[in-house]
Parts: sequence; structure tokens; C-alpha cells
Amino acid sequence: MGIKIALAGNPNSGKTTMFNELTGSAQYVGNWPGVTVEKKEGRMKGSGEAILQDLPGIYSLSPYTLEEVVARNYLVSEKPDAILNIVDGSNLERNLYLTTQLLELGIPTVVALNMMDVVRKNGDVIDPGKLGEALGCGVVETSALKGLGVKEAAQMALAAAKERTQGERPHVFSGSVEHAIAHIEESIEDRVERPLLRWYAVKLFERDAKVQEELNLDASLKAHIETHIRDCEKELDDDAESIVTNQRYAYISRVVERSLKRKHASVKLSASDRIDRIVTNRILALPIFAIVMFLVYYIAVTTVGTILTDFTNDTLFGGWIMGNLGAWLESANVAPWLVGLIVDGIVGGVGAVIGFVPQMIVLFFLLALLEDVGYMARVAFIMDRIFRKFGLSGKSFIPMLIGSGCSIPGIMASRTIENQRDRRMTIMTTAFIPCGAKMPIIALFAGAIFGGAWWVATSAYFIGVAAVIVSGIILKKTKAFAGDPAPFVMELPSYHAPAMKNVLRSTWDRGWSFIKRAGTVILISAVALWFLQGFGVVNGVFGMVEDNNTSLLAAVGQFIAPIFAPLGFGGWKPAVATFTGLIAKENVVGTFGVLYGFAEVAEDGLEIWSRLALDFTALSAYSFMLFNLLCAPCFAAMGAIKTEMNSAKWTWAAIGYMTVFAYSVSLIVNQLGLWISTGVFTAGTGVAVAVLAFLLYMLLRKNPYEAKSGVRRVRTARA
Amino acid sequence: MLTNVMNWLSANWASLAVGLAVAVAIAAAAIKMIRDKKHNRRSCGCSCSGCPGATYCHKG
Repeated sequence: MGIKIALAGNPNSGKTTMFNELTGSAQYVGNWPGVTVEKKEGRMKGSGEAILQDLPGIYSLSPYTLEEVVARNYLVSEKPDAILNIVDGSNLERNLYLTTQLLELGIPTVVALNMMDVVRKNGDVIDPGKLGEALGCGVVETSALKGLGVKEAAQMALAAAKERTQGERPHVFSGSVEHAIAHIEESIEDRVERPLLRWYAVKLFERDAKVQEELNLDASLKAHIETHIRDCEKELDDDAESIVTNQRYAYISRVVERSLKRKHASVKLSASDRIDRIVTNRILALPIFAIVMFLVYYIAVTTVGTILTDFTNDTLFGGWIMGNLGAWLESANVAPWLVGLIVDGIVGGVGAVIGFVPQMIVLFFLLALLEDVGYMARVAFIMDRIFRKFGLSGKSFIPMLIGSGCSIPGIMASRTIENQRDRRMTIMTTAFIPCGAKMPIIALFAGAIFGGAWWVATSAYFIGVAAVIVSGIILKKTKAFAGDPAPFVMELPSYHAPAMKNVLRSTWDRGWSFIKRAGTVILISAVALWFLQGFGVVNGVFGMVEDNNTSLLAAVGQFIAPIFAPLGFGGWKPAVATFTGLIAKENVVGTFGVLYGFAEVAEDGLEIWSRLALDFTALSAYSFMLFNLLCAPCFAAMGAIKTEMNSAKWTWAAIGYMTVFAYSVSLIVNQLGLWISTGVFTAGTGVAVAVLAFLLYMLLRKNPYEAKSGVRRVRTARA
Repeated sequence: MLTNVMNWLSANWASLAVGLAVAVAIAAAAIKMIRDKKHNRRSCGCSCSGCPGATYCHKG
């Protein structure tokens, strides 16, 4: 059995970066809470025997959040051989709160004093010797981002685990608290393991419900313990939990005073604070966010991305592959139907999707860059301000930030939201934010129909954000979702230069997964679609058809197409593409590639997607794009919804809501757009006006379930 | 009979070779998808290392 070392620390203290450095893993590093929901395990490089456990970031061992429960259950039940406590040296006071709790667990602990590069940059000096002496454990200076001191810290933890060494426990509490804790220890010493005795006693003193439940104490023992707690509370004139918290912080203040010398004794704004005064400014925050996201999509879809995608589509696929592959296969006497399958089906379908990879790579790179420098964490903070006005929590925006890569991890990240109503609502709305797989749809229409107009891609993102906000307001006014927003505590990490290793790894992970999907699910879909659009019944005889309008697929498509006619895309090809998009969203583009003859168009020497443009007007194209962005997500995301909802009823409610919402938005856009452009008021216009009026009513009506109590928002202060 | 088969093969070898390659590619893609399904790996747009809930996908 290998030695188990747990990495524990506050969110954003650099645990996952250190975990990756020590294990050689490539776990996702993010700077918002919820990045590590479950513990992750890896073998420590060069040690052979040691297993590292990356625990979720936590501020304490209280049982208030899922992350705290996961971490403390692991530490108490599975008892690692040592704890490597990652402490953000630039936020010493707050980080040491958890340290004081970890030291009570009776597990050999080593403190990795991380982000020392930031500490030194700030001109502060921490004396690790004095800190270690005060805490009663080893302290090593590290910078996980730069790989400094990481191995030394791990080796010290390994040595502590082997020797089972544990220093003297720090004297955190005053005499009266220690007196009460000692009595509690006496009362439960036969019920818990010796090393954990103090931790259990402190938790019982705090009246921790989960510990009370776990120990299953009889009534007389409970009463006995309660007497000691009450005596202490009476003496100190405060409740037990507050007493513990206050005395911990008082102790930490003394420790910090001894071991930390600040360059600036007075509170001086750091560079991050100065940037935040502008970036998170009450008035400027939103315009800055809009400009940043506009630039991201403009660069990814309209400028740099387009240059690369044009090369992939026109030169690589259109010229080199299409031009030569078909000719080569024909010259080798390959059967014409097989040439068709390869060129029109596989290359047409898969190539259409692959063609957009450069734009996706640029988008993923820019989003990863914003994440890594710390800006995206600010977005959750900025959105909290807006969301809260409508009864939502900024915590709901974190899954949406994660969901901009793929909706599935976004939906899964919603499990960090404790409030069930808010969690359900977040699951229902996360997929509105365009994921990477929707990017080819956006890029295709921006290029083929709108001539690469700058506003198309940006509008797709902001319509997603608007859909979340509008849905939030509407749903919060219903009985199923009513209630106060949950308090949102979020640490804003200091801005720093991007670690290119993290950025490139995140970009590669997302880009490579997209390419792999093109080689599996898109390939099989493209082959199936090619057969279905190439065969049909003509004059009572089943066989290959010249015109795919007479194919089997056309027959099915024509049956379902009327559903979409009011939205402006009542042709069978867009209808089929919408349905195949449920397999994977990029399949919409793959389907168009097969149905519109990606290959044939290229051979004609015309622009790749010009045939598509003939079937759409600007209005119907935008309506199609909106519907496919907002409607039910892909099957894999639906599976994630089912897992997280843990209820068939709520799963169908979520999928149904998204689809109805998407249909309503597309209907309004198409019908009102037609009315404005032609001046003709039709029955469809009337229905769209009625739907718009209903949505406005739901948005603007008074909330019948409005809570009377206010909610206080807490923002953690940076040291 | 054998001559006919040989003639047919020599006339269609290219189609057979290319068809076989396509069939292998499709089968490989299908096998990968079935394996992923069996291992409860969702075909999401980012790798497991990019997912905060990766461990949940691999339970069971």
C-alpha cells in the first residue's frame, strides 16, 4: 500500500498546479471555485510509492459546501499519511484558518508556502522558520507556477508520512475553551480514534450537526457536552461557533505578526486592486466585459480565425484534398459510389467540421488566456451584481464560464451550488452559452451568409448570456424556482502574466477532443447521412438517386420541416441538420457539408459554402442560428442534465424549456423581422407578437413569491 | 470459375482495397464510441482533464 499524501488548501492557492507539477498530470487548472469538485489522484513522480490526492479547494473544514464535505470526509475517513497544506503566502491570514483546523486532525502536516514569487514581488518577507515554529509543522517556500520548492515540499511531506512525525499542536484557544474541549474529549475518547480526538471535540464544541449525527451520542452525553459548551458561551458572551472562529483568527494574527514583515505597513492598493477598480467598476465593468468578449469573438471568428479557416477550407480541403482525392480515386478505377461516399460523404461531412478547427483553436486560446490571467473570475463577480438584482447568484455564472468550452463540465460544475432550486435553474440555462461545438455553426453562418460581419459571432455569445438572464428572471418568478439567491463568496485571484503551459494545454485539450469527435461521431453520422441522402425510391424502384431531393432523407426531412417553417427555415435540409445537431452540435455543419455538396462546390471553383447561402435569407439564417444555439443540447449534454437533475421529470422539463424558449426566440426574430422588412402582417406575425407579449409579461410582472428577507453579499478581501 | 473470380478481383481491386480501408475506419470509430459508452465516458467537447467532474464519468 503506497503512502497517501493529501493536497489541501484554499481555492486558488495553487493545489492543482502543484498536483500537475508533482504527478505530471494535466488536470484542469482554473481560478474559480468548483474547478476540483471531486478529489483527484496521481502517483508522485520519482517517489514510486507515494499517491497524491488533490482535494477540492476549501476555506475550512465546516460542512457548509460540497467541496468542504468531500475534503473533510476524505481527511477524516480515509486518513492520509500526511497532508501537504498549500498556503497562499500572499493571503496568509485567510489561508492559515484552514491550517489551524488541519493541524487538529492529528495527521503529519507540512505547509507549502506557495506564491512566494508574488510575496517577494510585493516586497513582503515571511520567515518560514518562525511560521513553522508557531504552527508546529514543517514550512517550505514554494512557487507552484514556476515549479520552485515544489519537490522539496513534497519530499518533506513524504518524510513526515514515513516517520509519522507531528509537531506540538498550536495553542489556538483560550483557557475556558480549552477547558470545555478537554471535557468533551474525555466524554468521547472511547468513540473516536486517538489522533482525531481533538478534531471531533472541537467540532462538537461548535455543534457541528454532521459530527453529532456521525457519533450518534446518547441523550445524557449530549446534555453533558452541552452543559460545558453553555458554560463557556456564558463566560465569553458569544456562541460557540463564533468563539472558535474569533479565537482562531486572533491566534493567526499573532502568528502572522511574528512571521510576516510587510513592505507597506499601511494598506496599499496592489496592482490587481488598481486594475479591479476599473475592470470591476460598477459602471465600467459591463462595457469592458462586452468589449473583451467582442474582441475575443472578433479575433477568433472574423479576423485571425477566418484567415486560418479560409486556408483550411479553400486551400487544404477545397484545393488539395478535394481536388486530388476524387481524381486519384477515379483514376484508380474505384467504384463511383465509393468515390461518392469518400469525397461527398466522409470528406464532405468531416472536412466541413474540421475546417472550423482553426477558429475554435483561436477562440479556446483566447478564453484560456482570459481565464489564466484572472479576468474570467472577475466576470463571475461582475455577473453576480447583475444576477443578484434578478434573484440569481453569481455562482450560477461559474458553470456557464466553464460551459463556454463544453456544456457538459459546465452542467456538472453546477453541483457546487447548494441551493437545489438555483442548481436546477443553472442546469437548465448553462447550455444557452455557446459551447465550442456551436462555434462552427456561428462561424459558418457568419461567413457564408453575413460575409464575415463582425457582429454575428459576438451577438451569438451575448444572446446566450441574455437568454440566461431572461430565463433566470422568468423562472425565479415561478413557484418551482422562487427564493432568495444564495450568498456568493468568491475570491478574486491576483492578476498575473499567463502561464503559457496552462493556456496551451487547455487549448490543446479542447481542440484535440473536438478533432477526435470529428473522427468518431461526426464520421459515422456523415456516412449514415450520405447513404440516406444518396438512396431513395424513384418510379417505384429503390436505388441511388441523382438528386438528393428525392432521397429517403429528404422524405423524412420534408415530414418534419413544417415545424420550422414559421421560424424561416422550412426546407428539409435545415430541418435534418437541426435534428442531427442533437447527436453533436458540430454535426449541423457536417450535415450541411454532406447535403450541400461541400466537395462539388469546391470542384466548381466556387466559394465553399455559396450553395448554402442560396437556401437562406439573412433573417432565416440568423433565426436558424439562434434556434440551434438555444435549443436542446446534444445527447451527451442531455445525459449530463439527467445525471445532475437525478429526475426524469426535471430532465424533460429542462430539455423542454430550452426547446420552447429557442422556438419562441426564433419565431419572434423571424416573424417580426419579416413584418418590419416587408410590411405585411400575417397570422405568424400575430402569433409572434402574442409570444413576445407573454415573455414580456413573465419578465416584468411582480414576483408573487418575492422573499421578504434581504440577502447580504460577502466579498472576500485580499490581503 | 476461378478465372472469372480472378478477373473480377483484378478489375475491382482498387474498390475492394479502398472499401476495406473505409470499412476499417468506420468500424474503428464505432468501436471507440462503444468502448467510451461502456466506460461511461461522455463524448463531450473537452478531455477528461479539462472537466471538473471527470471522476464522475468513470464511476462504475
